[in-house]
Amino acid sequence: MKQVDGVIVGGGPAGIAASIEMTRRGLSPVLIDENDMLGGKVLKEKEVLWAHPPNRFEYKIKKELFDQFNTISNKITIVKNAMVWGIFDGNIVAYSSVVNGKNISTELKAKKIIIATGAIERSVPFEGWTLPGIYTIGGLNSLVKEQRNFSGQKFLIAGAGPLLLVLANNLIKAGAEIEAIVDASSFLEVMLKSPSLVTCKGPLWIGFRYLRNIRRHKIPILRSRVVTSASGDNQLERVVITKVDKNWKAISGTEKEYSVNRLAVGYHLAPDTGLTRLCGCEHLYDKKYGYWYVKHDSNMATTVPGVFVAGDGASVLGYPAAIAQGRITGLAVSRELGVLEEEGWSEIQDLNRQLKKLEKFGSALRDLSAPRAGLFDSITDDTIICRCEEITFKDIKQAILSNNVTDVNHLKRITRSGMGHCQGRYCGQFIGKIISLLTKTESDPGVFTVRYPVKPIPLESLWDE
Amino acid sequence: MDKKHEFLIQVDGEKIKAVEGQTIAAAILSSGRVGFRKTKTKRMRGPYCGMGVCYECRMTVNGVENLRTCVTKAEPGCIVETQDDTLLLGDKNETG
Repeated sequence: MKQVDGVIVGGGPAGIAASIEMTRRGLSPVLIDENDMLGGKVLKEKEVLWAHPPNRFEYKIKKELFDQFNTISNKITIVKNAMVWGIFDGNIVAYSSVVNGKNISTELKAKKIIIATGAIERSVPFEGWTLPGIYTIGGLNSLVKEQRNFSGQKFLIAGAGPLLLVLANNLIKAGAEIEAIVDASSFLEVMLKSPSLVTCKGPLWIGFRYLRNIRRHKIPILRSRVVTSASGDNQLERVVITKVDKNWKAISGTEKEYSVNRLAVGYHLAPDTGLTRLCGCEHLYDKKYGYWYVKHDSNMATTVPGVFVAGDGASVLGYPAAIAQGRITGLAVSRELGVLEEEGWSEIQDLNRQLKKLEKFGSALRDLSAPRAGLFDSITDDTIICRCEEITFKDIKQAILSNNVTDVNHLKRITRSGMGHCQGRYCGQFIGKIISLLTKTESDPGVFTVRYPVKPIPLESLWDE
Repeated sequence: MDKKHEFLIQVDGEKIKAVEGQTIAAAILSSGRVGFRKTKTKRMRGPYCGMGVCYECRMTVNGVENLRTCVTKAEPGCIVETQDDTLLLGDKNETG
């Protein structure tokens, strides 16, 4: 097995920043990414995109990062199109990739491991949410950058938070038709958060520009409303939008139907904790926002020695924060390996101060966009909860109530919910919430146990020749 | 748009346009189609997360099953087929 200084999982802003800092200290990490292009979801190295180049703020950050990265990229090993499926003993990383047309698995022994796998968009199920033509906000945002033809496609954008505006602008640039933007949070709430939002002028300025563009294209922004159901014959045809109270519970009698065949809906993001849970790192449950995140210190070290985190996979704060965290991680790893110069130490502190400011901004956005309990009241018996295994709310309810289920892993064993291809990455976000709501308990229903492989891999890749 | 980077791929026997660097999912969505696979209860599913997490867009590409088309690049002439999970159930569903 090959021995390396460090393995960085995820080549987004955080992973790239970490690799730059490590390489500057003479280390040569291996950077592994699932995609064919580095940069993650936001800062792709090459824009495939013809319709819309990045905005100026994004462009500046991106150029700075890639300019630095390009000076060191020949000193590190970059593995693209590879999926890390396991981390063993906190120092062995196994990834699957295609070499000469064959799927193979490769193991590396790493002195340090940096997990920078980003975030997953948060969904709350509603009737019909599995119909083709319905995407997550971030999902459609990625696809729209590569899609070329939008004729006959009418979009509705729903959910909550700033990502709705980003998507709307990308759709406008691509020439797509948008029926409306539907945001669950109220106008008043947005105004009340404005003191925290003005702390970060760059992103705020982009937000204003987006709003202006949306107004110019006469796209209505409907507030205090959510998607409560969707229907259609094997693909989306109709969406029902309902007014909500401040807990986002639907107010009956206020339903309105829209004829659209494309819908993007999402409620902000949560860290992807698949690999950190697999490593055995300690995780904490954020009660207010309803998600799990990995415990880390100001050096971005987890509770497992040698395993670090960075970026939206640690805390969802956006790419400027991801870059700062990536740098901290790179510096902290260098320090543990004994190659960090004196000045590097104070750099970690400077970066942590920068992060504080970004955290204030990030948590204000999270307040406006994280899913609230009222959304769960719109779930009907026929609503699918586990997309992969096609398990409905009725199945889940029966299983919980007739077996006195109080724990997500117990429910998984009875119903298969969370055992499909996505490995519980979607239903795992809200199944604990559903258990607490149905059993009327406040106690923590736990989190799905992660097993190898962390994502499905072809069996042939594990064959030893 | 740059014509010279365009090529054709085959999706369930039908030829559709793709562009260099484009994922298979984006090429299919550009053709107007959103249903990518059939579940075991005969319901269609299409791309959802767009970033390789949900596996809803999985299809058979050049004979390799279960590839996530949202993270798989289109190559000239590649052959893409819908996966029908009703066929996985064996005897009971041999409707063809």
